[in-house]
Amino acid sequence: MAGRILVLDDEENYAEMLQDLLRENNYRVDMATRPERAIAQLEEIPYDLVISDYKMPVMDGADFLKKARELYPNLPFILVSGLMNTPELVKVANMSVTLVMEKPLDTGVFLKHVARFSAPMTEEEKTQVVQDGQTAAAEAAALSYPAKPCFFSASNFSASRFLQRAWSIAKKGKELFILEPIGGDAELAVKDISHWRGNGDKPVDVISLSRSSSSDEEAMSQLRGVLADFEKSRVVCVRLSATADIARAQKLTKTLRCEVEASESLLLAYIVSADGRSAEFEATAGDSGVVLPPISLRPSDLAVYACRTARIAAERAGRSRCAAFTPEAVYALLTFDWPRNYKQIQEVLHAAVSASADQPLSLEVLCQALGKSIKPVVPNNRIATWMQAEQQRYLQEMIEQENMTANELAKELGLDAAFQSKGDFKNMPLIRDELSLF
Amino acid sequence: MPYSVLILDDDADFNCLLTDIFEQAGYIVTSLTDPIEAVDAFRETDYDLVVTDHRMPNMAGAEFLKVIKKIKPEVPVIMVSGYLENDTIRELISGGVGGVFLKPLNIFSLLERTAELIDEAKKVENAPESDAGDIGDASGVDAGVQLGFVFRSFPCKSGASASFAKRLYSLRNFKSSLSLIGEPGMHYRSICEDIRGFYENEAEHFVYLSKGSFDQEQALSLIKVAKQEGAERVTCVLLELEGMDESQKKLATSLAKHQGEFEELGVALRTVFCVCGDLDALFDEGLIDENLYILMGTAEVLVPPLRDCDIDVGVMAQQLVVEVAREKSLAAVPRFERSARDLFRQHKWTRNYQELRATVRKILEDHPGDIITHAAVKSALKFNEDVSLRTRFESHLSSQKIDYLRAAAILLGGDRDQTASFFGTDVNAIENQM
Repeated sequence: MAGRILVLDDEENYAEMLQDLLRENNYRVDMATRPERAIAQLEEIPYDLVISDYKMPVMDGADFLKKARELYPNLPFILVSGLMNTPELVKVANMSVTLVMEKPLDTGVFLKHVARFSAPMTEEEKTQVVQDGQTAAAEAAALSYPAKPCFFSASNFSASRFLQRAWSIAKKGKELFILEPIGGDAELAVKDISHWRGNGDKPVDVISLSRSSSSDEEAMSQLRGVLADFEKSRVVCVRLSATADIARAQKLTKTLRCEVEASESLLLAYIVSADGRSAEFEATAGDSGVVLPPISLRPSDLAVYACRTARIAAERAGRSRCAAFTPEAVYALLTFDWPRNYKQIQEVLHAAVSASADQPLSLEVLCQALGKSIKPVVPNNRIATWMQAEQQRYLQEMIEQENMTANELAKELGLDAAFQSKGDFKNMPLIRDELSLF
Repeated sequence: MPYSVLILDDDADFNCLLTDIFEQAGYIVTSLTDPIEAVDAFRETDYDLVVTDHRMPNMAGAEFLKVIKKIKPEVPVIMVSGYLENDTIRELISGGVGGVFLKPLNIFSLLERTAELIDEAKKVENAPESDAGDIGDASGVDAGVQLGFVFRSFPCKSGASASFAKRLYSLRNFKSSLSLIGEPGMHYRSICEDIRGFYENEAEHFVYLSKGSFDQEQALSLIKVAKQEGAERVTCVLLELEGMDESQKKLATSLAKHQGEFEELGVALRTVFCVCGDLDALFDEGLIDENLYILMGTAEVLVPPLRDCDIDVGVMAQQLVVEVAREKSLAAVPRFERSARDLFRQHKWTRNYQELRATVRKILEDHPGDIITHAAVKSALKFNEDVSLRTRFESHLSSQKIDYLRAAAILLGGDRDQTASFFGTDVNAIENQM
């Protein structure tokens, strides 16, 4: 499977030239023109290879290399640069740069070196990428999002529905309201949306609107600042402290639209963090609002984030191999309810990976990092345990949503047994036996 | 335990100086002045790090680096020299040098770099050699999306269809026969066209034979035509096999076994059986005889029902809309309301693709317009609210179950065997589910 390459050069033309050259040779390539953005990109996505210029403003190739090495001690790193003097060369040699090549580049030699570190896409993978693009375009027509998200994981059905909805709101208007669970991954989705709206790798600023009314002016001036800076994304995250602030936020959007010229490209993504669903949120945010489901309801996304974090943590610790999980740890990861969602996954896995040396991540280490013990279950009962818990959760949610009693719901579902209270759902056998079987 | 360092410098004075520096810092030092000798010593002893000069008789430092990196690439090497050309430094970097120090020597930095390099090398050495490194990409994080080959009959956005496509792809070079087993209303023909698409070779031909047209004469003539067109191998796809009459089934057996006239065609033959329903059940019901049962049982692939591919269904519905729009030369392709698409995903599709296709056509007939509304879909599906709550519940649980399987597979590095043993079942069961 082909990996990804990150190309960094402050001269956009040169970066594009390298990107095109590599793409023509079937590599999957991302491009950045600012080292600080490239670092942000490195933090989120595992790369096979980094190709960077040396002479750049703000942070030169050596500083960038140093930062990249702090994140990933073993990441292959090629400097492609104009003339470098001896002290500069010695400096990067002592920072474990993988290769230094001079501009003008001998493309034949360059590609040979790149091939040592990253596999190009096979013809089939390439066709698939093109096809994905086409299906993506077809789906976009049907109110879906334009490409596979890069930061946000939308593997679970509910997550992809969330993203579809968020994207369709983003396409229509100037504001998007997201109700995210505590510590949720909404900012990642906003980053993808920013990218899809043509902001490239420009950073998405996050500002917050606190409860005090004086903060409206403050937020306005912060937003003006962001919008005046063309090095920043036209998509801005604004964190609200409560659903009650949505009205203020809507006013803010209006004021800003009137005030800022060329506000077409502007999108304000307001994020409200709260536990559970909120009818109040849906009522106030209306058509511009979308609810991000908690990570515990998105097992495959949870798995994607856990693997991503474990890989990043392992690489930062300088391990050449990614951290694996023992089956008991896998069970525990998918059983725990992650009340602080994405943030908690990151914290816990960083702690667990660094505590587990080079061993696969075990149940003991994980439980210690979680601060909670999780009882292991024999393999044959794993899926049944999960499905039972999910069934119970879903039934309780239905009672709340549909505003029915347990008994009414049971009737509605055509269940034989009589249910007096929510508690009875706990002992209800799975609605279909197949749910626990293979 | 103190680390051991090999020092190579033909200048005796400087060699002594370096040796002193490293011994003072607590390293065990072997000091040599001849590169050839040093290569031998390096081969025989496990040093933790090598320090070398560049200008030496017999062999330059850069050359020495190349030689010893071939022997043990994991041992870090530091170059210490009076003067180095920029080209040489670049050459050293690409040769894998760990550090470069020019005279006058900064002893502090040299020792610091030495410690760093040994530290890093030990970390790598202690890392397990498992191949779990590629979790991010190879693990099936995108199990449903990145197949690495073309597949059109299912969009493969769902786990079930993606693994189905992968299994077909892995079996594409089957020798004599393959059975596609599914529920009623499957689009076997498009699936087989996908199998054909796995080959770039023009000499692979597929012919399609169904209940209405399958007899010896027609089969032979289709195969002969294919041969005339340059086919080296012909794959005969038998559609709706369970509905064929006795003589057709007999013929199917001879075709699959290359008997009678099929033997003398002078072209390689393969057979794909497409049936609806479980093989054992078909046998018990007398719909296939023992011969066919045995032939078909050798390589079975289960086609996932649409209800197990809910994400695909939305995409397929949209593809069908595009197809109809093209047929009718509509100015714009109608679009689904979001909630309307959800109805498609929640529906059970007991007659699978056939039902989906018929439903889409009916909706477009009954409700012309640019937007396909929730109400239009609902009336076409004769949606019953009472049933829907139960259906929604069941379909939610089934899709969460699949998602749990995928999650476990992702966390286990995409390894099917490990995933199967994680759930205490076998690989086939897992693959069928996903």
